[in-house]
Amino acid sequence: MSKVTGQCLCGAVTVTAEPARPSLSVCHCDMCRRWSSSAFMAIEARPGSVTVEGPAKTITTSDWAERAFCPECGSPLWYRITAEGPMHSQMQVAAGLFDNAAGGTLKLEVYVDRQPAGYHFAEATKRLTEAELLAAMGITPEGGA
Amino acid sequence: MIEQYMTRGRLAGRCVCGAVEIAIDGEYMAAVGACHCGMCQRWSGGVFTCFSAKPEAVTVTGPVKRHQSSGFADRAFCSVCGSHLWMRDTTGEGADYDLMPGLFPAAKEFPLISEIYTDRAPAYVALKGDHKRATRAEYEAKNLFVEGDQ
Repeated sequence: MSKVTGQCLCGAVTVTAEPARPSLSVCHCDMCRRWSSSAFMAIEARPGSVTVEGPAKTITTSDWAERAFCPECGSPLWYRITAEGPMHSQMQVAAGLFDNAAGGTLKLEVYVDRQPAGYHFAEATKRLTEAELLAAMGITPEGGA
Repeated sequence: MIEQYMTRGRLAGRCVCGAVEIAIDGEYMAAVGACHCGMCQRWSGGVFTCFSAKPEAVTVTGPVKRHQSSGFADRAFCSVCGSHLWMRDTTGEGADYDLMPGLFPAAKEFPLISEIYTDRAPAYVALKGDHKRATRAEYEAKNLFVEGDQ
């Protein structure tokens, strides 16, 4: 796919990425909901395709991942898997940075067993529980997410 | 219709890293609204949701950073981990907090009761339900808004 460029709310950070595929995912885990107000919507970037300009701030939020945000306006930028394994260094870039999420459609929801009762996406998606996702990532959590 | 969701009680919330804690003790709305305006899309990463609480009910501790995103509102987040905390009207004193439900475990049970800027919602955000919906024009006819926001 061709590269797309997006920016945070205040414009301090610009992110360019090549989507791995024309689809989006939603994560309903407790951390993603704390971080982003509700579900975290993202585009998987092709490995090595992401370039960033501006003051992105990175924080390690678990034993297997880090998150980056704009320190000026707080917009989430990406989630990156730091653990060794089949998904090492995979980047999930925040969909909202890009106009109409670069045209992607919603295909995958993860941590569906943590999903709030109050809202549901209308699309028919592939749905993975926490256990199913972590197994796909090759991760065995100690004490849960 | 909205009034039926106003309630009183205590709720505890915190950001991802735990540096910011928010306690509610008093009046809040036990229901969630979503906004699809261009600014909320960029700020949230996709879909922005919030619920309101009276200012006298809200106690905040920790390193909060505020971003004045328009002439009439700011958006607050944890300066350590970036978790979103609230959006708030800045035009007068004592405005309600529009808090992020993801901070509060108890808010997992809140129903979605409204969506605004529905004509600006990206194709990938379609939310089920028969809740109240307002287009950009319908919302801006009655509320402050940012000129030219897409």
